Amino acid sequence: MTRILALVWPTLRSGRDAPPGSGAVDVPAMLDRLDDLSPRVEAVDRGVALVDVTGLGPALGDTGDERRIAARAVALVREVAPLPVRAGTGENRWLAVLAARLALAARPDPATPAAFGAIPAGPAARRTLAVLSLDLLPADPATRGRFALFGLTTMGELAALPRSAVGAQFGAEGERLQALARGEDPRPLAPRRRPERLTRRVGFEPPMEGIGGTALLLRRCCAELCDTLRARHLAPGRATLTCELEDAPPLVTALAFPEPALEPDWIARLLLGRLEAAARSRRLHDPSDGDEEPRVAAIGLALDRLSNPAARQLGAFNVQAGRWEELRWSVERLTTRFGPGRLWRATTERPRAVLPERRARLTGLGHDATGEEEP
Amino acid sequence: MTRLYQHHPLVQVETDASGTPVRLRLDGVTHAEVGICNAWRIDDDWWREPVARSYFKLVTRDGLLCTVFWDEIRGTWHLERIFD
Repeated sequence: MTRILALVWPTLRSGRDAPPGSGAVDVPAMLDRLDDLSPRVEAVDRGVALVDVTGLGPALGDTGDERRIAARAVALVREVAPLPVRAGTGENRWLAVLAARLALAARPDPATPAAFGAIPAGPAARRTLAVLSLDLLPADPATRGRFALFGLTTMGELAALPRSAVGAQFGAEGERLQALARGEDPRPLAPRRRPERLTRRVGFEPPMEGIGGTALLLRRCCAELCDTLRARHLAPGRATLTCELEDAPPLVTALAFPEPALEPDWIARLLLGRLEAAARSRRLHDPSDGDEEPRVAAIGLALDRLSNPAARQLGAFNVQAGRWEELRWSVERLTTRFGPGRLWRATTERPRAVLPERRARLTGLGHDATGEEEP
Repeated sequence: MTRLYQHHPLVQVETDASGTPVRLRLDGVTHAEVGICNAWRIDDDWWREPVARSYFKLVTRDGLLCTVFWDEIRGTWHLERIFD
């Protein structure tokens, strides 16, 4: 017997943001926490997650029932974001989500989630559904109107009709809705694959003066992680550098590679260049920081989007897009290597202009694009 | 490959009576024997900021090939392009 736990976050579904002061909601981190409960977790949509909790009762002790399993799941996700959540369990994904929607806000036990509902398994599920309104079915307004024309108001009335008759009157969509009204949902749970992420963090005691001073350690972190991945025939597609400052919010910069890269020198140099640019930009927008170099308490490096570079297959229809990405990547590397003000992009503006200096426009690449132009 | 100067640095040019360059001084070096490869005029933008230039493509005895022009409005000589 399969049991599915559905977690529904109403504020995420309605598009409202997290409570003030809590920052952006890290949904992937919430799902990662659910992985600690069950290996089968599916992110259905923003604000809905399904967890396969079949057989988890004994794992949580002799008294482990579904209410306690749901409480455990809610406690896990609330460690990441303390959002209001509804939980429900059912025999399949439809029943689980429906149970969560119908969950009452009563809290008979502090250990239970704020709102929990359960639809029992077997024939009892059909009896539970029978009294529910048809408005709860995921039907379009036209189908709802036709149900009303036929005098159907509850799921029990729709479920009791012969399937062939429903198919004749309402088509395949009607048959699907009737199956839901009977508590049947053949859609299996599609567990998400937890993305692997290699991280390394280095702390400084006392804090280091200036971001540039971390270059050597960052280079070493990159080399260590790249060596680990090379031994597994993997390469990262993205690198993220977090710089924890002593008396300011952390600086975070991410670098997505056009193709998997295992070049620690370049990864470190490009990340550091971007981080320094972000630090300069912050000083520019917040002059209260003054001209003092930031004091770095720790740096954290994360490599993810891992793939096997040898097995990389180019798309048949986006070759040009891939080339532009590779060109952008090459240009960025050249800019870093030769410094600002040495690399220029020429854009043809008036190819038939009489004066040659008006035929093309030169734009500097890098940070300080001033100086003499060259074609 | 040529080097095109967007801001046209000033150069010292001596001309004959007809206004044709006969001597060019560039980067501290005087190029005395100047041959004229080509010459043309450009008049443009008369409706907003007039441009009137007399262009000369020059070659010197030591192999320098360049384009200079006489700005007829400002009365100055400028270097526009050096050919490799």
